[in-house]
Amino acid sequence: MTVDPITLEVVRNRLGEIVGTMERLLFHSGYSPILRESFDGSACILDGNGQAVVGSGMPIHLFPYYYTVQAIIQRHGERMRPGDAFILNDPYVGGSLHVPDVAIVTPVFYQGQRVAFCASIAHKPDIGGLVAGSSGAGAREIFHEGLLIPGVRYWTSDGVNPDVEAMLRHNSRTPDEVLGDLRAQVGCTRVGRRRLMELCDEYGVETVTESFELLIQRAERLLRMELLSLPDGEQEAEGFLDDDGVDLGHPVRFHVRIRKQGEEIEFDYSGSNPQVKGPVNLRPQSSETAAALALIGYLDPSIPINDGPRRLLRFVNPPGLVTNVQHPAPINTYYATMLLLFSCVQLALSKFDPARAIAPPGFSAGGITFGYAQSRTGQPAVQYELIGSSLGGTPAGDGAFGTSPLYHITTSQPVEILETEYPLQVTRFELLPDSAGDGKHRGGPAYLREYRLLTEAKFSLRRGGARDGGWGVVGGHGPRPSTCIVNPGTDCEERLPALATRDLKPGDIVRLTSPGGGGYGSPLERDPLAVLEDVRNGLVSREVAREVYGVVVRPGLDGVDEMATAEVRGGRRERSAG
Amino acid sequence: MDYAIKSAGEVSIVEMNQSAWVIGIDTGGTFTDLAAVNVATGTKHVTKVPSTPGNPAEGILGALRTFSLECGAHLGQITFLAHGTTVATNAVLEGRGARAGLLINRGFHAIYEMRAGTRPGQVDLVDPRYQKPRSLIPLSLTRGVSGRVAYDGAIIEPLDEDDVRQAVESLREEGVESIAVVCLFSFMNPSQEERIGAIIREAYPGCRVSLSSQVLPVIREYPRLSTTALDAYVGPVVERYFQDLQLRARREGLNTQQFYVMQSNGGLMRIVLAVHYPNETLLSGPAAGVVFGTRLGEQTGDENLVTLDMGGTSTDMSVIRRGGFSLTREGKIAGQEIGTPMIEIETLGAGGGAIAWIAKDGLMKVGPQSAGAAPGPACYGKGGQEPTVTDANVALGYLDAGRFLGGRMQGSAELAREALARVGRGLGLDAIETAIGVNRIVNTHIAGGLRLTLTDKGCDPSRFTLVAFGGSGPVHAWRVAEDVGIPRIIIPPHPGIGCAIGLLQTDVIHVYMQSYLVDLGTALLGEINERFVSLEKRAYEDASVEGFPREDVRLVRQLDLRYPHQSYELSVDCPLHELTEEDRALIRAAFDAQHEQVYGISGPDEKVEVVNVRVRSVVPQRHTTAMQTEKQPDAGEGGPRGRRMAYFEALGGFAEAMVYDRALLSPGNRVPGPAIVEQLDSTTVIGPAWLGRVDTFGNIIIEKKSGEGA
Repeated sequence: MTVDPITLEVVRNRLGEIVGTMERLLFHSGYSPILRESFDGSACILDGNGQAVVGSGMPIHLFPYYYTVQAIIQRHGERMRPGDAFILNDPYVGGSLHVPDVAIVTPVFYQGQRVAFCASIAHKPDIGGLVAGSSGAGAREIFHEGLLIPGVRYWTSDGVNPDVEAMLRHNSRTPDEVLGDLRAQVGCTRVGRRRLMELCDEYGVETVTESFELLIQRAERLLRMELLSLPDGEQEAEGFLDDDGVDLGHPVRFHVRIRKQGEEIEFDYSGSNPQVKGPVNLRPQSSETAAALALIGYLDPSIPINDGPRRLLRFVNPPGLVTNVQHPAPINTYYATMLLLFSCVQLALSKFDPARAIAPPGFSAGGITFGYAQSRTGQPAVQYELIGSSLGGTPAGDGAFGTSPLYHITTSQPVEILETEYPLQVTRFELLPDSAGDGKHRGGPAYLREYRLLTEAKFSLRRGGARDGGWGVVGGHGPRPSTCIVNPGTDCEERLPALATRDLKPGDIVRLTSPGGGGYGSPLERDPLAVLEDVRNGLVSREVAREVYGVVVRPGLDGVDEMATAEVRGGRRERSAG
Repeated sequence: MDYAIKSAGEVSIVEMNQSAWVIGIDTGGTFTDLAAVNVATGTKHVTKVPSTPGNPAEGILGALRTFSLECGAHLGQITFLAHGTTVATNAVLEGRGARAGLLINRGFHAIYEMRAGTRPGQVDLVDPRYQKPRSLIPLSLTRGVSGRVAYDGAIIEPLDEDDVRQAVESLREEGVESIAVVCLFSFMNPSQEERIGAIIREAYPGCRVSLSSQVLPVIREYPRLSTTALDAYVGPVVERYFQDLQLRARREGLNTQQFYVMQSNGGLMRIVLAVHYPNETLLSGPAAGVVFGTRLGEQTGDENLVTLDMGGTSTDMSVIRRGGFSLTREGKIAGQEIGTPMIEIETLGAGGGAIAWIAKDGLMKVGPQSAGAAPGPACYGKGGQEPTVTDANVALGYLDAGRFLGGRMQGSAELAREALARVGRGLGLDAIETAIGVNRIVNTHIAGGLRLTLTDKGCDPSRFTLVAFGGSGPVHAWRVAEDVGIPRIIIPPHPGIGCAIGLLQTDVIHVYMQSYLVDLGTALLGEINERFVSLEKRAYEDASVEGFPREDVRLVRQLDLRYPHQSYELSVDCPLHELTEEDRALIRAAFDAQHEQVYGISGPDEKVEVVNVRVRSVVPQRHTTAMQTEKQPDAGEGGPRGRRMAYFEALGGFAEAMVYDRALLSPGNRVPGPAIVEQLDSTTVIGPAWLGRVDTFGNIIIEKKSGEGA
């Protein structure tokens, strides 16, 4: 039987609706702020063979789902039963990007056949390991990064497996939140399972399973069609992290060579650094995701992010590289690394077709963790926040403020939630002037966020290489990199490196600035009125307006001095020509 | 000859005056609808005049004048007027709000620009060109001020009043019309915000002030800021509109004090009060449709309903459970977050005018682009080239192109088929096959929205009744109901003016809430009872100010509950008596059950936290039941007027359907599917497995034929 195009569109809508519901339930019933306030989680429907059909939430979980469910199938295969739900987080077994990303996988049986999986991945506030939050600069092995779960039965038709639950409870600094988040994950996959079975009742199981395959093929075909619009050839790009946090001052190279011919495309990472001792390495699920999302975002972001693209993309990624790290190396700071690699891929793609060039987000993004022995409730607590970035300029316009091109979710948590739950104060949260990469279309600005500790805390900082904040394209400038300063302006001021762990005492100040986005095109080509607006909004100083953009803003900020601007810009162009 | 509006009570609160009229006026995108009922005689009148988007008051006065002319009544005879408006919504959608300023704690400029909680659609997820919605107040009109409140309400930095005056002065120089004030933790301690408000009024008289602690006193600074900014942005526009409307209506002779505006929360508010709560009118228009559905359910005895209001450009749907609609605190208009409770209405960009097209993935899509009123669907013959949902309905025989608007407008089925064939060609489909596709896709789209609307709340469609109205709702209702598994449909007598009628059935509603964070298991019940009583006291006081006797006020008590680490609550109803230990266990069990139903799982071994104590006061208003059909005295048996071929998948394709005239149907008439019922403002299609019958109120109730199950 063949599913007709109309029915396929119907089933596609229904699947989108089901996975959207799963995601919403996850965020609304989750316990930890990282899940319910930062939305660091996702839901996915996979076919009976574990291929992702449709996902919702964090798009960087696409490849993880595939690898995770393959691992569950391998381990449990025919022994899976209706009512089972499995749990996995080991990045060397399944697809977790790092250890805190715990997956729940619930097989869906229909008339005795396994026809699908409903799955969910959500970042846990703490799953054990060296430091609060599990992800620490000091990790030298994966064993330092938290409890590793290889894919075991967590739920059966009788309910939760109390032995596994007890094990989890005793391996986390925040057991209530971890178990509550897992309950939300199991719940949403069970709701998804129920809805999928109803869909099979309605349309017949063959129609549903065949639609799975057709939807995967369709995404692949869409990507192939878009690839035809890209000139053939070979391009490369590279970027560096300052170091791995262990061998200080030794830059870590990430290199990609893209070979593109017709509908085929290959990403060759073999020019990248060998794997390193510090936790900035990537597992293949992370380095592949970086390329897939960079490509889809560059060509056409509306292409469904499912297993179709994975079938099409070819990788040269030998084991032992920083992009294909081998057991038991640490990987907890994968995110900043992935963002750098993602930016390298988009830079190389921009060389194929400069008219579509995209400036990168600032990639010294990452995360911070405060671990408290006692929170407001008297219980130990872990406060986890992402350090966001801002987008780079594109031919379409300026980069957006405070988001990441790998997932447009907001990374800052509400001040009122933080202060209510944790013993600290947020003292500043403002936009940072002159922080974006300047350009015809500038990058999004950076923000400054400052905390004052009210009790002792263990602080962990994890971000990408600090000196190289990003680059501009087609004549645009790079942004300012991120910074983290403890007790700024005092005798005990300390500028922290990219990766750091510190003990903080009451009264200590932590001042963080995020990276801005890179610029697109020459700043001298920016519309003077747009520069004026930036000055009025406090995003660009009058000095930078004049020195970099060549725009002279009148003293009352009520307009542009056009004559002076023409003069400055004229002189600047001559100089750059000469 | 009015046989239907005769039950006592529905006109009771208005003085029985031979010449008194009550009126509901709904401003829509295309038409301004007026529904009027003569209080003494029960005579009803319906008027439709073109809307005047430039100044909606024009259209309203136009409708009033038309009513006056047609009924021989002057506006002084109107004793009650309720209005549903889209002025606030359109100001946001079209970016025509006021120039507003923002005062916020110094050093917290990034909160608004960051737009926490803003999540793009699926297609934007990895788009490097993604843009956040534009802030309604620019950074250049944002000023930081001193002062800070801590999480527990303690003041940790005093307010420097000179500093505030300076900020206000600079905003005054910038020419702002209104100022939003947002201080961290003002929901715990509003004193600094209130003082800032007083300084603005003193230093800049005439400037509108929106305090976050009054607009939305709840935790999470971003939704509170976004809502307060909306309030400041639409405030001057809404205020001007309401004042202008009142003034002009008075000038033409309207003198009732009972002049109300529909709010997003499904309740009426006096227009003189509504100017102070502009952000409460953001869903004023569609909310009346939901109330209309609710009242219809009361009339027919259906407690669980889902409304389907399908017009030309969009389709609104909303769930009514146990006789009440649900409110959300996570609404959004044009990307702007609104935290004030509003009726949960799902809007899809798929109405009768939605255009069918082939997307890049080679699949056919329907909407969200709409052919609108001009050029309109291809079959209107006004130059529309692209096929719409209405064209598909013509090609499939559901609509008679020769009898649009009851024969007042002549369309062309040929033009519909040509347009459909043009789009279908690329997929190898002919006109009819394309029409079938368009119909299926739009039905699926609506069914998906309905299912999401229902299942999101754990509602089982098989226990719900679909109320279909708007011009296109009754065409698609049966098919959508079949898809979703809804066994029963109500088509009201005048589907095309549901919202205007709803305005005559809307209660005066107030919600009172107090944050009270405590563990349910160990809470002192006396403390909770005390809070209920004090909120109820406020409810009675307000009602008395509005002129309602105590016995007219109906109260609902609720507790907002959650498991300790969660931050989204579920509201659980409580009994109206003093809570006892027994109640504590019952409330606890009800919460676990509700959680299990909504989230697929529950935690009976967890603690449960009380977050808010809540009282809702309702003063019922029933100026009319659903408007009845104007039955002709000689209507006869209501038999079919004719027959035509229409497409029904279950019958293998085109099959003969009986065609009925709605005006000739009377209570007790049966309309077995496949059938088509035509009337001036809509067409109802009844599928082959369904049976329609006209109830005593003139509604067509459509249910599965017996023996075929639901």
